[in-house]
Amino acid sequence: MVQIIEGESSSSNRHCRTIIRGADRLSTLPQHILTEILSRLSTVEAARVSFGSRIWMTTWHLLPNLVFDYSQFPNVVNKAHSFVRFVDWTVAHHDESDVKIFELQLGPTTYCEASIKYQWVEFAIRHNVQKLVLHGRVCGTQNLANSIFSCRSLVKLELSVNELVFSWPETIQLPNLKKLKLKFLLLPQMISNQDLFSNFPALEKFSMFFCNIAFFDVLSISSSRLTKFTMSACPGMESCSIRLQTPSLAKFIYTSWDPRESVLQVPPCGFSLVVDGDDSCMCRGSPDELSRTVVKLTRELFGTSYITKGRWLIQMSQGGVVNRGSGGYVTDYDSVGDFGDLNDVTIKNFG
Amino acid sequence: MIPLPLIDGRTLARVITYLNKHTEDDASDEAKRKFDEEFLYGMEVGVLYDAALAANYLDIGGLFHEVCQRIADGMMNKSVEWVRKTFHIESEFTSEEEVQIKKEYAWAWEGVDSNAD
Repeated sequence: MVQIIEGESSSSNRHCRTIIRGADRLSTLPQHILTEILSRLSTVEAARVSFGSRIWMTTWHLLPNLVFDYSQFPNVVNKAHSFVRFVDWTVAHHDESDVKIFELQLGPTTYCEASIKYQWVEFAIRHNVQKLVLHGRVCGTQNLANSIFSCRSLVKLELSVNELVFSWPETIQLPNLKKLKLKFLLLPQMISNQDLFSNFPALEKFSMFFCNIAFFDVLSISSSRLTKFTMSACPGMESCSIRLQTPSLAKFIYTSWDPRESVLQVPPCGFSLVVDGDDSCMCRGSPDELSRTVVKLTRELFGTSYITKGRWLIQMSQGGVVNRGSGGYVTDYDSVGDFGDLNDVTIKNFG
Repeated sequence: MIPLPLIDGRTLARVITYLNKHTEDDASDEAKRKFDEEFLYGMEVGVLYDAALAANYLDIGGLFHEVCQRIADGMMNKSVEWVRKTFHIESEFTSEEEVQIKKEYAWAWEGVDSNAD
């Protein structure tokens, strides 16, 4: 039987003229090739193909990468309901094989009526997920944090869940976590000397965006492998000290809450760099001068061999007095930052 | 002489053409991409399947990924029925199952190319 059908692939402007001869060849392809092909489609497209035949449906049930993006879902009536059913169905019928990547992109939350279900996250964890991305609102009050932070298979974790006071988990077992990104979280009030971010032995990159750290006096991070740390526009960052014990840190990006970065305001507080108890690096000036000096100083200081042995404490201070109501200078330098290999620092001033 | 029992002559010839191009000393990445584009253009579905099998068997990563991508591209944004027809796939679902699927997941029939039928 010979059939000739011509079609156009509208995506990426490639013309795919297809001519069919003979019987269905699909069933002759081994499973892993079918999986390879189906993996190259978006989750919605792949599902569409799977609805066409049992062979593809079987393949669908063992796909290792599942990315559910609400914005890519067809705009049907009852979209949220259909979307939730779709994720439910996928999760219910997946076979026992591992799911390497599991993403739930249910944002922006102003337009997405669906919420992340605890069962979906549990599914991913049970299937040894390596990359977990949660973006959206969370359904119910179950504590996601405990399960997520005991998922030993995790290598990359991105949490961007609005309106959630993040209960910090009781134990953290993430021996393989290399990348951690936190967005929009409201970090809870903690006992101030707790080292929240020091339980990730393999962590290489850590970033915090828009996380509310108003309850924090001190944010303490110790990690021997951390190479990049980014902290950006976190409410409360102006009154929070940061202590870094990160000998491998190569990039530290700390940017302000003020979106108008090109226009520097007169700051109520400034930066002081205290090196080994020597505060002669402390400087004041116009915001422009201050930020330029800070950056210049840190570059100079990092360039000297003195610094490889030196100890650092980066503090926010108001008018020369360390805040947090201590009324005096901090004399405790026990937990200070170690910047052995730091070679790029971006510190922007803020108001 | 190396016998390759799983690949027919025509497919092997195509694979060799691909390899020759990709192992040229003076071929830039741009030239290779252009070659891939023309090489795979107009390939029949059956030929694509053969090429995927061959590349897989001979462990030629680049070709394998290109061919799989080409097959995937052919399915993008097409209706369920079109993909079935084009790739000549037997559905194997019963008509009751079909009705059920179409009812439950009606969204999968939305938003596809209008020229697909």
